[in-house]
Amino acid sequence: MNPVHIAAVGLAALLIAGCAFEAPRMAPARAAPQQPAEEGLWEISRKFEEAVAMSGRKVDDPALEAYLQDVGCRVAGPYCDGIRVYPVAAPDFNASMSPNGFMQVWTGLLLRVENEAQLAAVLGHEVMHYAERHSLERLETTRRTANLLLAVQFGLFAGGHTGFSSGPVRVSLGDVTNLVAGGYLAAYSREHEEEADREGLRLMQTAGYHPGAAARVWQNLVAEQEACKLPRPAALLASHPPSTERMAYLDQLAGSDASGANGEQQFLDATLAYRGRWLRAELALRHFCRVRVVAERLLERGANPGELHYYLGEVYRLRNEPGDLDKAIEAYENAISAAGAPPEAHRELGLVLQRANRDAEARAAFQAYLDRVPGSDDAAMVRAYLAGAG
Amino acid sequence: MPGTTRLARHRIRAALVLLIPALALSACVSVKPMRAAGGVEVRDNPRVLLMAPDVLLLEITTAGVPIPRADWSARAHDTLVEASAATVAARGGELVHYVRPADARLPVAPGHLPALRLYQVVLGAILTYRYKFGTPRGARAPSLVTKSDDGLEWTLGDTVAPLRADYDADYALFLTFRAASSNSGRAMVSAAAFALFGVIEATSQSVGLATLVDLHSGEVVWTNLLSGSAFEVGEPEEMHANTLKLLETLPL
Repeated sequence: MNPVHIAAVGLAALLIAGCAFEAPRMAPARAAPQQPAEEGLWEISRKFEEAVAMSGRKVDDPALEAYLQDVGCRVAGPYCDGIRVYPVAAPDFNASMSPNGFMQVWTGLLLRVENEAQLAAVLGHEVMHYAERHSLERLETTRRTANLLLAVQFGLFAGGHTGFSSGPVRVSLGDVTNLVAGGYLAAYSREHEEEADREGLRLMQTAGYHPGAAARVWQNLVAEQEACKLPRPAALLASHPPSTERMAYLDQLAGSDASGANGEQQFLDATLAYRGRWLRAELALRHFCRVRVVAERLLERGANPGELHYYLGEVYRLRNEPGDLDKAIEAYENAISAAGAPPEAHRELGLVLQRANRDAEARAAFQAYLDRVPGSDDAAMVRAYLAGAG
Repeated sequence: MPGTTRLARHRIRAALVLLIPALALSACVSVKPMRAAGGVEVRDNPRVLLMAPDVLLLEITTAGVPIPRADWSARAHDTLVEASAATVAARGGELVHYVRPADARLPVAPGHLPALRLYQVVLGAILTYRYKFGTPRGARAPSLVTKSDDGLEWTLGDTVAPLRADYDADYALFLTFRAASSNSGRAMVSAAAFALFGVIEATSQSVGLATLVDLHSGEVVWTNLLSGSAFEVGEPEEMHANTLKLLETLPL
């Protein structure tokens, strides 16, 4: 790279840094697109919202939907009328906000948050994306950056500066400037995320929730990522700040403020009936480590321990690695002796006992299952297991 | 081109650049209609229920960023509806419009959801197995062992009964339209890219899809796919002409 190339790329970086577009915060009373590009974004969002609303992905439970909308509204305050919160059946920790106020909350997120305050922290973050019109800012900034990049690349080409050699490798200046622009846009996105984190925390705090819950969301997620060695995006091109960083600044922002409600019981009342289904959805993707980490963490909270032990048993039974058979037996036995275990815990215990050649105990487990749900769809099959066990 | 000087090559390119506007002006649109394998039962004076058309138009900016244009989309939507009504009327039929319920959270009546969900799945299958969407050029197209390679063999079954009853309609017509068009800056960039590098980039892309479902049998009786690479997507006249072309083979 000669001095001209360095100067050109440096100048491009400086100019690109000036491409940021800042839209004024949306006025709650004027929750509508304010310019043509924003009208287009709202139009696309409307289509997307209709598609989700009509699809089988939306969780068809008016009570759960009303609960999420209620928490969202409490956090959103004056923006309440503009937002619509939808529970979407999808594993993984995720929520998203569209420019028109259409918010998706994935069931994988609902599985992982522990109380209403943590949920409020996430919803507050999403509300701030809407209020600050981040989608419009990103679109306009992308447009400006792309225009500038085009001019720079044409200029470099016209000046005969297409690239340089680094040893045997030919490096394209077009690629270098693309990387600079991509890095800038990713950093810009991270700024939005941090702004939404910080302002979202203020929203949930104003709504009466304990501010420390926001950092706890990320603390739990970091623990899951580290325990399961989940891949992380390259820092330069990541659209979101690292979870550890988010945890740190949210923790600092909350300080030692111990005020506010956690709303754990309210959250459990609204979601506990679904928890098994959400764990099952994660298991279907063979997220064994993640289900184990989540279930063990939720066990510490105490609600329906039998159900959580049952899903730990499912992790070991389905993973089927050396030593897992004994762990599965132990987990199912723990489930059966605790509150909240589904009847299937007996059936699965029978299956693993059968696999361990403990036929008499397997028969007892199968019989216990049939005693609890004699009319189940698979009763005939379990009777066949019973007949075959020994 | 052996023996051709660099200057001569540039002149040839410059001449070709001049051809671009002419190419852009000549609308290059093709259609690919398909009918039910078992034939179509044509009814006298049919009532055709037009489902909410799905229209989205994009502007490609100078640097190639797609920007959704709500104004273009709204205009195209209205033109699409007008041209559809004219086509159905010309066949002795009547176009009735699907009415969205007051609840903003659900764009259709709950009783109509099963038919519309099934339609989305069926449409996906038709696009994959009949129109070969997603099949790379030159690759072997996928096929279904349960269906022949010709004609349409899909039905929405009894799920359409509520639609038929609520609107007293014989058919349901689904329309989807997507288009992207370069702004003038992008067209100039495309011309420059062609002159400098010989890269050809279409200045617009359009895809229209129409589907007719018999509300008595539930069968998908007709589809048509319109695709084009050069017409003014924002212009109502062009949209009107293309809607007529899209619906030209409507079996009514």
